[in-house]
Amino acid sequence: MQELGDFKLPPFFNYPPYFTLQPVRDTREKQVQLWKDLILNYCKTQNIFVIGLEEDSPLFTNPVIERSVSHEAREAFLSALVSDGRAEWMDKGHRKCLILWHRIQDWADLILSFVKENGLEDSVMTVEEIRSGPESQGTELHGMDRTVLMRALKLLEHKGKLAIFKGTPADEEGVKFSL
Amino acid sequence: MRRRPGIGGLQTAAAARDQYRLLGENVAKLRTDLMKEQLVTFRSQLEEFARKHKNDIRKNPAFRSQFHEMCAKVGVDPLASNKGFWAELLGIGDFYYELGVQIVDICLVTRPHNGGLIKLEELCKLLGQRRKSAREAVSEDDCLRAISKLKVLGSGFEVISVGKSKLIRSVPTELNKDHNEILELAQSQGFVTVEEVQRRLSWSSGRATDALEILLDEGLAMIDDGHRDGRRRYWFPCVSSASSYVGADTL
Amino acid sequence: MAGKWLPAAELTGSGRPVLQPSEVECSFLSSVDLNCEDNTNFPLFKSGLLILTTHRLLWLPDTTTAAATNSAAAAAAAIPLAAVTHIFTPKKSIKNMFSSPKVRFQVSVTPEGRVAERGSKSMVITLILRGKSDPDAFLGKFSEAWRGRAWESSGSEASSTSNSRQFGSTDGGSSGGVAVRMPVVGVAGILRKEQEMWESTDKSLQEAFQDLNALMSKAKEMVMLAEKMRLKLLSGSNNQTSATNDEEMGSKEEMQDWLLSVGIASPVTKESAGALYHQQLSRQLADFVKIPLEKAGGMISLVDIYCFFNRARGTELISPDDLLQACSLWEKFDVPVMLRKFDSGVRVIQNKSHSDEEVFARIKSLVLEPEALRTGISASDAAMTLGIAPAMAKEHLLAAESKGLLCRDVSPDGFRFYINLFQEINPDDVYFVKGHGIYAAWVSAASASASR
Repeated sequence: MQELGDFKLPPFFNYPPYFTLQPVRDTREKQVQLWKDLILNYCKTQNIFVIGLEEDSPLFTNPVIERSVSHEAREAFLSALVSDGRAEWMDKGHRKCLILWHRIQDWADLILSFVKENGLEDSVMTVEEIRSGPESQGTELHGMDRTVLMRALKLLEHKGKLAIFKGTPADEEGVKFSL
Repeated sequence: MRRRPGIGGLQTAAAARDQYRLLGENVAKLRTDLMKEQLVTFRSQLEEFARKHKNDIRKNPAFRSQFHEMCAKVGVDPLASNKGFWAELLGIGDFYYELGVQIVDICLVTRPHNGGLIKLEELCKLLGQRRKSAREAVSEDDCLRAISKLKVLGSGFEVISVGKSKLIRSVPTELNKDHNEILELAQSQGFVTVEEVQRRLSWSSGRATDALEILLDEGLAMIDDGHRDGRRRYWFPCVSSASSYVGADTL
Repeated sequence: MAGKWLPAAELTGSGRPVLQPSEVECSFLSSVDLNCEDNTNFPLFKSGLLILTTHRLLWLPDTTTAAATNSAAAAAAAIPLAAVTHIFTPKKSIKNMFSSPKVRFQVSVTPEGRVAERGSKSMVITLILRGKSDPDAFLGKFSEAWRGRAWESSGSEASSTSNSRQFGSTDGGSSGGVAVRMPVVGVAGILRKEQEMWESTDKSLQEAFQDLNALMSKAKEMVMLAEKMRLKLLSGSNNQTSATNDEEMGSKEEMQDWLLSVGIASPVTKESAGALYHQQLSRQLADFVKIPLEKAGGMISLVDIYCFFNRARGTELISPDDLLQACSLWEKFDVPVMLRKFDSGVRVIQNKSHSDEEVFARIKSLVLEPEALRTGISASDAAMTLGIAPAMAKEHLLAAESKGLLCRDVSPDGFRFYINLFQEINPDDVYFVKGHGIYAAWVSAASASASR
C-alpha cells in the first residue's frame, strides 16, 4: 500500500469518495470516523502537533487519484476530533488545530514515567531538557510540542507533582519534581 | 349535534348520525344554491369585464401586470387552471401556458452553456426572437408569472435574485448564500478570481475555493487559466451580458 | 378640544380632508367611535367618519350632527400612522361576538398626553365600529398602511406645496374623479403607485382600472365565501358521514368545480376526487403518457410531459397546476402509471411496474464492474444502462445514495458515484481486507490501475 513518508496509508486512501464529504448521515459518520483515526495516527507517527487548514497537507491530498479534501470537509473532520477531546482549535477562525494524539493527561503520565525511570524524583530540569535533553532521546517526549508540554506540566503542577519556576537566564523555565 | 363515542349508545349514535346527515344535506343544499347563484353573478360580471377589456389585457403589459397583482391581493389565481373562468373568458391562459413551454425549451437549449441559470433579460430577449411572428408583446413580468406557474412541476424552476438582477434557474441544484454572493460579484466583469472573492467578501481562501469549486462542478462556472498573471479566472456565463448562444437563431 | 390630545385634521370648505402631498386615501368606515380608555380626560369622538390613508387615521365628525354642535372643523382629528407603535390582534370570544367590533392600537404620546411621533409615553386608542363594516378587512388595510411607511419616503416631498397633489381640495370633488371614487370595503386599498398610474394613462384605461376594481371587489367576496365553504368541506369529512355518501361526494365535487372556476386553489382531499375537469383530464393523460413514457425508458419528468401535451394540444392548453392535479388523481384510479417526487423536488411520471428495487439491483451490478469500481459511474453512464434520460438517472443515483448503496465523488471531473465501501471497512483494523467480497474486489480493481 501507499506510503506517506514512512507512514503506511490504509487501502481506502485511494477511494475517491473518501475525499468528498458525504451527505448521507450514516455514510458520513463512517467516513468521519475513518478520517479521525487517520489524522491521529498520521500525526502520532510523524510527530505532528499542529495542522493548518489552509496549508497544503500531504494528508489531505492524494496525487495518485487526483483528489483533495475541501476546506469544509477538513473543518468537519477536525471539528469531530475537537468534540472527542482529541484536538483543539487554536484560533477563532479555525485556521489552526492542535492535535492531541495523546491527551494532555496521557502526556502527563508519560512525563511521570520518564521521571521515575530516570530517577529524577527530586530533581530540577529545564523545560527544554525534558523535550530535547539526552534523557528524552528515544522516548515520546523527545521533540514534543512546547505548548503541549507546558499544558501537561501545568496539569501535574496542579496535582502537586511538580513546581514550575522561572530560572536563569531569565526566560528559561524550569521544573522541580516532587513526586 | 354530538355523537357519543364508545360501544354503548350505538343505536342512539346511528339515529343521531342519520339526523345529522339529513341536516347536513339540507344545509349543504342550501349553501350549494347560494354558491351557484353567486357563481352565475360572478361569471356575468367577468363576462362584462372581458367584453370591454379583454383587448386591454392582451395589449397592455402594464395593465396586465396590475390585473395580476390585484388578483393576488384578493386571493384568486387566474392562471391556476385552464378551466377557470379567467382563462376561459379573458383568454389569458393559453398565453401564459404556451409561454411556459417556450421558456422550458429555451432553458434546455441554453443549459450546456450556462449550467441551468439564465438572466431574466437574456431569457426575454431570446423569447422575443422566437416569437417574432406573435402578436402580443411579452414583458419581464409575464415571464416571471409563467415561471412561477412552472415551479409546481418540480424540476427546479425558480426565480433567483442576485444583486439587482434576476436569474432563472431550471435545474434542481440548490444555491446557498455563498454561491449567491459570488454570482453577484461576478456580475460586473463576468468572472472572479479566488483572491477577489477573498478580498471583497472577507472570506478565508478555503471558503472561497470550496464555493467556486462547487459552482464549477455544477456546470455554472468555467475555468480560464490563460492569463499572464497566472491567476485562475472563474467565468459565469449565466451573469454575462454577452448573448452569443450557439443555435440561438435556430430556436 | 381635540387639539390637546390629537393633532387636528384640516378640512376643506366642503368638509373633505386636506391631504398631504402623496397621501392617498385607502378606506373609510362610518359610525366609528374613537376613545381612549387610559385617559379619562380624553373626549369621546362619537359616531364619526373614519378615513384610513397611507399616512394617517382621520376621524371626521358626522356632518349631520356637527352643525348642531357647532364644533365640526375643530373636532376633526388625525393620528399620524408614524405615531402608532403597535396594533393589537383582536381576541375573538363569545363576549365580543355580539358587541360592535373593536380595533385597538397603541400610539406614542408626549408626557402631557399628546399624540406625537416620538413621544416618551404611550396610550391605547380604541375604535368601535358601529356601522356596517368588515373589521378584519379594515384591520388588514390598517396594518398594511402602517407597515407601508409611506410617510418616510415622502418626507422630502413634503416641502413642495404642490396643489396638484391635494386631491379634492377646492374643486368640489368631481374633477379629481379618481380620488373621489372610494374603493368599496372589501378590496385592497389603492396605493400611490396605482393612483399615479391612473393619472398618467389615458382616459379609457382609467375606466378599465375602475372596472377592474369593481371586478376585484366581487372576486374578493367570492374568496370569502369560498373560505367559509372550504372549512366546512374539510371539517365535515369525518369517517362516519362522508366516504360512501354519494350526495355529499357530489357536492364536494361541485365545490371543487366551483373553486376551479373562480380560481382558488383547493387541495385534493382524501375523500374527494377533485373537480370533474381534473378527473377527465386525469384519464386523458394516463392514455397520452403511454408512448412518451415508453420512449423515455419508463420514466419521464413532469416538465417534459407538460411541454409534450400542450404542444400536441395546440390550443386550450392546460396549466401546470392542472397537470399536477390530474396526475395526482391517478392514485385513485386503476391506471398503470404513477406520479412520484424525489427528494430533490423533481417530479416524474413512471410506470407502476418500474420498481425501485429493480432499478437499484441494476445500478448495483453496474457499479460493481471492474471499470466502475475504479472510476465510478456518472449519470450518463447510468442513463445508458437503464435506458432513461440522464436527469432521471441522476435522481435514481441520488436515491440509491440515500439508501446507502452508493457514495458520491465530486471533483473537477464531475459528479460520480461509487459502490459504498465505507460499510465494508472495519474501523478497528483499517489495513485488513477480507479475502472476498466487495472491498477485496475494489482493492484488486484499484491496484490494477495503480500499477500502471
